[in-house]
Amino acid sequence: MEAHEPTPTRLRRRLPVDRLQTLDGGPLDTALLEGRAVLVVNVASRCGMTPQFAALERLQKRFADQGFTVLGVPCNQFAGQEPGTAQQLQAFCSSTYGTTFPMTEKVDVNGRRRHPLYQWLVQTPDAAGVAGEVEWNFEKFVLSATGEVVARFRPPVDPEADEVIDAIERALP
Amino acid sequence: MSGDWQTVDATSIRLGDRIRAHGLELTVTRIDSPFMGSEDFLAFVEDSDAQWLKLPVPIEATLERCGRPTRR
Repeated sequence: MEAHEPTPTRLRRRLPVDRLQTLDGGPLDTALLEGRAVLVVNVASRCGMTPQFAALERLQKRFADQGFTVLGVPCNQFAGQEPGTAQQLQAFCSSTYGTTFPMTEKVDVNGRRRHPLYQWLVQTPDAAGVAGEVEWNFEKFVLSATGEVVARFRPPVDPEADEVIDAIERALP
Repeated sequence: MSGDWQTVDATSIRLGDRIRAHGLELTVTRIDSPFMGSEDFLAFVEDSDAQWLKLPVPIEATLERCGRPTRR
């Protein structure tokens, strides 16, 4: 009998987004994420880096058809730069930057009430080998279509920087 | 928190101080310096059961500190 090599399988990790709600209060549709490359980014509307929303939206438009989405995660833990209500943030993002990518409810990304999604994400080191706390608004994690974190970029890294684009292209299904 | 608030230099803040600036109030449990690679900024962090909050300020900034007993 001929021996067969086991067929390589890419195990799909289930993202820890249970009970995570969208910005408008409904349950997050995990079909928007599973099987897709995802760029998870904690966002704030009153930060010097807030213009990154425009680049994030360009990424969304450029790669959405290839199985990619940005997931925005509002957070108010950095100098209170995301103080608004869900409605205010939604209006700000759509009217100022025309964002179309999904956004979650406001969550903690650091500290004792850190959301399970971030408990998992922050274990990934950045390019300098440093894992742990989210440093500031607009820190980016690129997840592969199989649910692995493949790259972490600190806030100053432009969402359209070559290294981010490379990571997204490697993460696509 | 009510109390006697004094305007002080950011560089005089120590762990345990209660501070407020930009409409935010926190008890400092950690001081990060530099902040995001800049030696010109300090970041005060409260990491407690009450909240996790980071507040960066320029090192030459002043902010308010809730009264700390002064030595005589």
